[in-house]
Amino acid sequence: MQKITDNIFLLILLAIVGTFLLAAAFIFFFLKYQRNISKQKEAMQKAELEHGEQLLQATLLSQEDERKRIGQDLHDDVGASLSNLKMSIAQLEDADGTHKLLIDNIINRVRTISHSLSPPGLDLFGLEFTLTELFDSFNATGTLEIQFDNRCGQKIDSLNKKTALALYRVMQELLNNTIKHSGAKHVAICFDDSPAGLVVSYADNGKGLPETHSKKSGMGMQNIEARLKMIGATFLIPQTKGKGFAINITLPGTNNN
Amino acid sequence: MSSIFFMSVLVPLSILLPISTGLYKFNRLPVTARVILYYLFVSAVVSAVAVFMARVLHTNNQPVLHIYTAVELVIFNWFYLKLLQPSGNNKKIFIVLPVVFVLFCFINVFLQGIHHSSSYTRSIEAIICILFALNYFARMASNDLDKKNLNQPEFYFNTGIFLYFSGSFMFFVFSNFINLGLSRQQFNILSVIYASLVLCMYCIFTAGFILCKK
Repeated sequence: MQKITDNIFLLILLAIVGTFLLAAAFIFFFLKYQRNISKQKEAMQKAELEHGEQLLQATLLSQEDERKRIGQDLHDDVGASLSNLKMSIAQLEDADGTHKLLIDNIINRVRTISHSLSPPGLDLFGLEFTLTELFDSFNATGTLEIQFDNRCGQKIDSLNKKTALALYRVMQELLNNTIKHSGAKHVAICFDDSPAGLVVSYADNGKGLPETHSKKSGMGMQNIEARLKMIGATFLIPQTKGKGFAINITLPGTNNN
Repeated sequence: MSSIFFMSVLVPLSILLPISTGLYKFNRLPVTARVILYYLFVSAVVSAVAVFMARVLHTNNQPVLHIYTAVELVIFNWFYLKLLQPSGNNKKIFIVLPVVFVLFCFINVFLQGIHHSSSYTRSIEAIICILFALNYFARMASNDLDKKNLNQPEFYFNTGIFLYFSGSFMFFVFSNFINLGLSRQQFNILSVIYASLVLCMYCIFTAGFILCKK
């Protein structure tokens, strides 16, 4: 029989090191596999989130188109018909002018609805005018005093239509939230120019967000988030601890087209 | 640093690292971590007795290691019972296994002799612990875990056990040959490697204890 000349010590040493390396390699690949799986899961969640956001944005865009169409129809068709009716009635005998007054009221209400659906001033007079008109309408109710400060001059009017409409809707939503939930009497809104871009600060003197407020936003805030995301704006809600609600919106690299 | 100092002083003393971390966080330790802490206590006592017998009394310390093998498996069996939380027939395995193993350890004293290394029982214990550890990894993989679970102390304890027993397996298998059939220098080299594996396990256990937050 042939004599075995292997070095037993070396074989044991190799066996010990080998089994240890095998185990270590197993741990290494296991960790790598788990990390890959979790990365894939994160990517899938991100894609789902993005898809949800895209759906919301598409919904908002189509909603805006629909509002514009209904607003225009109301203004052009119903408004024009009412004006015709008003002229016809003027030719009839209307001693105390009651019918004319009623028609005037209807015309005003149709105009208000049509303007709130699609602000026409945005195309004609720009964002500053449209916002002022919106704030005036809130001020006129007497329940809320809005202080509007435009520190960026003409820049606010040179915003593109999509951005201007989004900011208008955001202001509308914030004011609605203030009226519905905060019990505030005063709102300060400021449009300012900064190196970071256009900065919009909104602050009311209501009860602020509750301490138990979850990061999951309500529908109103989700709309605000989606609209701001659509125009590439970022926002920050500072902690105010019961001293009103505030939000700072930054629109970087403001588009002047 | 001499190999004797490394094996007889540094590595046995390094057990104080996970023990002190475990004791510091004792109130925040989950059951599994407490079992590991108990294991470390037993290991520290046995290690101290073994070193004392070998270095001070210059007597054979193998009888202590025969008992230690049985106790060690019973503790790791308890650890995996708590960690894997088996049900039904699987739970029966965790009850029957330590009884059978302790019996085997007792019989092995007559098979291999009390003054010889318990290579049969140690090797089988290593295989059982490796299988337990693999079972946990398999459970992790099938449970669709996220990153968070990789930072669980249990993952570290399991990894420590898996690396220690995988690395030491061949050492256990050939332990009698290593003790009696190799030169002093070769014995020391292999013992240093074994002590390094123990040190590695203690470090991983320490990391596990650090991560404990109830």
